[in-house]
Amino acid sequence: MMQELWRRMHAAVTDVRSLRRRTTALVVLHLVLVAACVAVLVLVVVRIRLLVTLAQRSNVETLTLAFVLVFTLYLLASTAPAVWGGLRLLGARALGREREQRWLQRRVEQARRDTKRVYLNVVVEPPGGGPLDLPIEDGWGRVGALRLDGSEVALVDVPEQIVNSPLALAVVALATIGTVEGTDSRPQIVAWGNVDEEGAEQYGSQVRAFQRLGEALGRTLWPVVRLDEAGVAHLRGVIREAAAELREDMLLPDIEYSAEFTIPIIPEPLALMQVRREQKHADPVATLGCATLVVLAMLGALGWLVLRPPWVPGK
Amino acid sequence: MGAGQVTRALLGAVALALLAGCAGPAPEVESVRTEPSPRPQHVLVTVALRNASGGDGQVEVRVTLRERVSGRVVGQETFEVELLPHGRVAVTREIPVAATGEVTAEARAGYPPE
Repeated sequence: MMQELWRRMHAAVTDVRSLRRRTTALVVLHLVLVAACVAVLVLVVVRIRLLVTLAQRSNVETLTLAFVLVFTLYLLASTAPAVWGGLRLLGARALGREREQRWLQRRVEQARRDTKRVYLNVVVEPPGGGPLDLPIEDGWGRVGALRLDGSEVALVDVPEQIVNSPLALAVVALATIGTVEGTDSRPQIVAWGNVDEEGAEQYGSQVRAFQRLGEALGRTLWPVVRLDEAGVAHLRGVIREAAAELREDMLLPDIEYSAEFTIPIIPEPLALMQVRREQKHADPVATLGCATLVVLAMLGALGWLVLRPPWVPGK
Repeated sequence: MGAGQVTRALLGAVALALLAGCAGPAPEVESVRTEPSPRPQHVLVTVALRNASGGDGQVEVRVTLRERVSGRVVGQETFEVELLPHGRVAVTREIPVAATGEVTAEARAGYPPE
């Protein structure tokens, strides 16, 4: 059931419109999360006597209430930049597309630059070979460049706030326009530089070593996705179309992480047996969605306790 | 309906049953009546309570006595009362007062007792 929930919460990037939907979902989630955190804080502070009484009578540690307070304060503090960015984004959208994009482009030009890398399960071979640089720019200006170099897909010289998820857009396009050889799998991102920098570099070096070995042997060893001129033109169009969405993405900070699911068979502190499952890259919409659900559940539980206090032993 | 849906529905029903079964009382004060006590400087206060919930438990009743003329608090007492599910109970207590004139009583019931 939890896995199904997790899967449903993912906002997969499939096209430019889905990228915009994803940004909107992140903004909405941040606002709901903050509203829920504030509601929890207010509820705990206003009804602290009742909650402490219930905690002490029911043998639940009163410290649990302190945990709730610290947890919600932590969420408020850690999401504050994104909430502020989300509010500014909504404000900018209200100005209309033209004024929004001009304002965002000014911010792009002033922002600190960085290069974001991910690595594919295949190497990309454009016509003529070598790396393929595609400018991320439209009528409002240039955001950076998309580089396809072997298995590496990079957002080059982009504002540092832009996250890696939009790179999935290029990978989806590769799957439709390219010809895959050497594997039955579709092109997909298997190493994320912003989540596990060392692991991603390690994987990238491994692929480069195989490419050199292949060149020495005169054979293609690593699975490859080949692009023709039409494919490159299509990719250029997709990236151009996505430039506006990438500018919007700049207002939301990097909240991409890996995820670990743990089911304790024997609970902490012993934890002799646990079932674990890891995901190298967790969609921010899903992680933030989970955090929002947890806080909403907390709010629901506290609200229920305040409105319908449960039975507790008498004095 | 699939097996997954049946499981979810059953889990939801069990959760709801647990929540309903764990409910505490919801006390409401129906009336407060005062009458003179045979003991000097005391007054008999009768508080009628109603439990609006299906849960039982101990509730706390706080009675405050005020001098009718000045509104000054002249007596106060807090005591616990056991309430049965949807039950009604009337409790009479003899409360000392720090006044000789006529007094009025107000009562508040709360759960859980603090």
